[in-house]
Amino acid sequence: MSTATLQTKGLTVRFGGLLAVNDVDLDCRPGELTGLIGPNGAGKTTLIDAVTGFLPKNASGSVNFDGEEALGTAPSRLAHRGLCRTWQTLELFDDIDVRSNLEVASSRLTPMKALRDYFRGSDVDERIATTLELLNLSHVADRSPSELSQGQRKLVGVGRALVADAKLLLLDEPAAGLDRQETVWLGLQLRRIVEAGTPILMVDHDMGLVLSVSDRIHVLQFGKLIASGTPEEIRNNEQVIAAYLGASGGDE
Amino acid sequence: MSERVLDIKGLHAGYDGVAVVRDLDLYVEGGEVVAFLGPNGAGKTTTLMAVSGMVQILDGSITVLGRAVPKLRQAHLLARWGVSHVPENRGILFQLSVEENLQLANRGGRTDVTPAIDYFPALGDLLKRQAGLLSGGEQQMLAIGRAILCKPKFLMIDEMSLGLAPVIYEELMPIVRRIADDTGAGVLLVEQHADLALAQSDRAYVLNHGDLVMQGTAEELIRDRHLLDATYLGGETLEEEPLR
Amino acid sequence: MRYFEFGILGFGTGAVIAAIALGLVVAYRASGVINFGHGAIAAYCAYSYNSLRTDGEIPIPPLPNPVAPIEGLFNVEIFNLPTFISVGDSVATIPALVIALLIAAVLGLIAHYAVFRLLRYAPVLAKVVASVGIMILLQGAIVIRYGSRAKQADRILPDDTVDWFGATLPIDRYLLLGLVILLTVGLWALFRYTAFGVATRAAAENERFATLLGVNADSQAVVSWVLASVLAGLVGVLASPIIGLTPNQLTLFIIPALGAALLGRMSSFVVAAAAGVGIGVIQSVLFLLEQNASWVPDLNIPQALPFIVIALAMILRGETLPSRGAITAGRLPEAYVPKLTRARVSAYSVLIAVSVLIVMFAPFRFRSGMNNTMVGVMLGLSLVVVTGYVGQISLMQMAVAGLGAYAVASFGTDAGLPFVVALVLAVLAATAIGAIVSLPALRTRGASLAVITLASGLAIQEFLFKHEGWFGSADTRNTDAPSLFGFEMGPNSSFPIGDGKIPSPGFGLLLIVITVLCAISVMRLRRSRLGQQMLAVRANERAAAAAGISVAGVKMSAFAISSALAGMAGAFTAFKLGQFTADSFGIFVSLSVLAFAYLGGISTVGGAVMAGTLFAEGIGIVVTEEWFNLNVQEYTAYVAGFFLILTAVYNNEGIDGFQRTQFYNLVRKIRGDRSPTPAATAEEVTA
Repeated sequence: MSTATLQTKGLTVRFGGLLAVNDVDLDCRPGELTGLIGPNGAGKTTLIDAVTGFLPKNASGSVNFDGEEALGTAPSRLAHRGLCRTWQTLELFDDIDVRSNLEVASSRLTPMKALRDYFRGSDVDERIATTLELLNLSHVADRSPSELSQGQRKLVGVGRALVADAKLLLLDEPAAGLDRQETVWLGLQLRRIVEAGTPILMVDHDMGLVLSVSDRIHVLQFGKLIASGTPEEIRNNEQVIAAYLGASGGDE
Repeated sequence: MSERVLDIKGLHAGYDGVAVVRDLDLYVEGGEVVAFLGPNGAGKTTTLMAVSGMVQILDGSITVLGRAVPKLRQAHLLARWGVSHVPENRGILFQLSVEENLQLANRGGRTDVTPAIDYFPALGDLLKRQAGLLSGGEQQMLAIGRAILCKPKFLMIDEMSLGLAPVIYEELMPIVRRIADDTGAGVLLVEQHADLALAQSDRAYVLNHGDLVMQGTAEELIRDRHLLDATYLGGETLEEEPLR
Repeated sequence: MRYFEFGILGFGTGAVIAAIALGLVVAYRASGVINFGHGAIAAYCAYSYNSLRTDGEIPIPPLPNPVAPIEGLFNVEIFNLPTFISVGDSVATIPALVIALLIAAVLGLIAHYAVFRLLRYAPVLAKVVASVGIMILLQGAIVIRYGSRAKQADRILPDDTVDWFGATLPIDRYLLLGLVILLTVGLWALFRYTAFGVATRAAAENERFATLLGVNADSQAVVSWVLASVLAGLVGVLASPIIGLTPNQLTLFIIPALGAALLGRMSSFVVAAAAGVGIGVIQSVLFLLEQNASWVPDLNIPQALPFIVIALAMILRGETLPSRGAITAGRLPEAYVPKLTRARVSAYSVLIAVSVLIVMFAPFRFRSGMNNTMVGVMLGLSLVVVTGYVGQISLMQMAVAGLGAYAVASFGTDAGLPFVVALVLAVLAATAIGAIVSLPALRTRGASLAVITLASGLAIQEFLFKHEGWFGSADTRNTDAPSLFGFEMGPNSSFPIGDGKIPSPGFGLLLIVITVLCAISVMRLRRSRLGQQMLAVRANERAAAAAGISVAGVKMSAFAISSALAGMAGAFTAFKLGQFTADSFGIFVSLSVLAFAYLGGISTVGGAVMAGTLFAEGIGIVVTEEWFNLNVQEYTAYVAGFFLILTAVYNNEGIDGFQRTQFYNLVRKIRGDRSPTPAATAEEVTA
């Protein structure tokens, strides 16, 4: 569909002889939370890395983001175009406070802007305040991310991606390392973000989370797309169940 | 009853002071295969790494072969006590040859590699090949073969089926049972593919989001398959709806 | 034919470069550390051997005398620490060599146990800094014990010549080459075929996996460090009669050796050794070419060769060294946000007021010490920006400062431009050159970056500063006194207030104003958007790129700003001395600048201020010397090296960070507060 925010066509990622992502066509649509699931080693993170420009030498095929080809573009450029991601391992900037973590990502710093900012002081950015508010992080804005709970740390990563005028958020395992309560809470926050207008592509192992918050889901196995559909369709897909529980196990 | 080769009590473990595994009790006896199940991100690998001294124990205790787990600096001692750990990505050293990888099982002096080849005859023809050039299945054989050469009293295997086609891991899985039966070693088998693991195991534990949610004999777990499925495929949502 | 002869003669230096390169590779493969002090280990052994041969003495490195200040204060001598262990009049060749190699082994053990073992899980920055500390420490120890003049070296290899291939040449060159070949083959076989070799290769590829298999990476490292040190020591002893025995020469062989080792990607013995010998041979032939062939421009090319090799190695081999599957990485020093609380403002005001009083009324040495301190603060600030904020190591700060000094001499004195214009042009020139030199560094980080900046520093020193006809024949160039609105403010200008002696208070006041401005600029930078981006890059380059930050742009701005500060410091060094001299901007000065900046606190402005007081002949040093009668000047480099290692290992936030946490703890204790709150809030508490 041409209305998709992100559309991959024949996306393939090779590491030497290994086909980590094999000819994958998937899309993310405006106003939707798209889930991307699959057993460990299926190539989900690799796919996100390729889409966000971190694997320029390994990826082939095409990735259409917001009407333009994204493959072959540097990560920082894609970020400016609104393709923003988080990492499974968080990768926050622990040296600066939560607000600065968001500010750093909020606008492109040209040399002129840097000079103006240096001599006049930083402009107060309304979006930072609203985003902190949206993510319930206002009360910890002046603390270092290292002092926050795991769930809050995840949200700082999401917030950092949001303030960069994200047109699409790619979240890599936002629920990893969270306990069940925190996961449910995170799911609610993610829905709020989508409702506020930013579509999300989320990779997660927690089927409960993905099935309950996603509008549509893509399933990868061995680098190939094996199913796409609504949570209801995915839940009843024999191939998906087999992929998760072992091929010989889906025999009931 | 045989000795406990692993005894975990009230374990909290994780990274940077954040617990990923909470209040875990688990034990393995000599000669038994214990499956350690749960969806990904549940904390199984973290637990194994804590047993190997590579992840911080925040609370509780781990006793391996009657001794407390050493600190990171001394983690190499575990292998010398008779603990073998095949990590998630198999722990193959790609730049070394197959033979050199096997040699690592024994420090100082030549290692007789025949026991490994008895279990995996295919390895015999590959000895001189660089390990990085092996296929996934061959790498897994090498990893387990090397673990056998360590003559472990306690063996941990993390996610043996990872990235392997079903034909291959269905062949590999029964060998784990054979190792336990032949050598009397206790085996802790981390698996995502519950049925395969349960078929070879005596008992099983199921971890979800860092909490122990089920445990019992393999038969009990196979009988309560629907509960297991719910854990994997998102218990919270499934409970509100009729099961398939 | 002459070229052939010179080529063979180059085997001498080539063998030393190769042996040090081999040692670097061994140590890197076993512990993942690039040891900048490896040449210094070779030098220390060569000196020890010669000391044993001529005087039968084993040098003891200077030890701290705990009661020295009391001794100085009351002018008595309580302790007399030994400087040498005497083992007779003079020791025969073989026992002397054995003892020297034992010393090498002990140095290797100390490097491992006292330094790198403790830094096993530390960030690369700490490891590089510590190894630079070893380099300065050993070089400093040699200078203290033997002075910096060249010594006659005792010869082990025969002095004969042989007539091979039609050329009559000393046989020792061939012997050294043979030895290097033997060592290379030996090491290759050791790593290829033995259990030790397999285990070391396993640990180098992935330490975690190897540990799971029972490999003790620690014991591998012990053996390798001893091996690497003995290797360097052996060749150092054998070759010192050929290359000469000075504290700097062997120590600086680390640079071509790094080039050779990098060509071998820090993993191939054969390539590293061949490249090492090759560098020696080419250098020797180039030397002759430059002397004789009219078509070869007189460009000091032999001196610049190591830099060219390293630059080539980076381009050919790519930016990546084989990295180890490291287990954990520690944190970098905290870069506190400067908060101008009332307590802080008043503390700074007092500090500035005291400085003003000192430059106006204190005796000569104190005034001059204050001037040195101000220059030191600027240098410290330049490192705070590039190392503290962005986490990139620069070992060429003094070379950049030298460019500033040279530029101010050229624009101001030679071209006759007014002071302010000349100063601005000088700073701009330093900025531009610093940014250009940083270009190859933009793609690299960590240890590789340290290597390339060290080589650039040496190249600028040898290639530009010492070049006859470019930077003045006698390495010097006069600098006129700065003047503002017709008011002369040089160190020797007259000043209406005070005793009228030199250095003039006018110059001191000018320096204080400039330094305070620099400090405020750096504080502002930390709070600006660019400063935030710098810290983001330091924390995580990958995530910074994904957040839309141009990592290369941020690094380049940091290098540019840092170079501007260093250029400013250089310009004022030239004004202070009244001339530009190449020696003030040498490579070892660069290293000790890093040492003091790190010791003071690499990531805060307060740390830079602290560094300035300790810097060569700074006010802190003057006070110790004048009040406690201690002769610390001679020990500066040595002590700097020692504390640099200590800081890297135990407290990477330096004195400033230490002071913050300690002060905070004190405040907490007084208030009876027991809740664990991080030190970062120290400023708010003081308010």
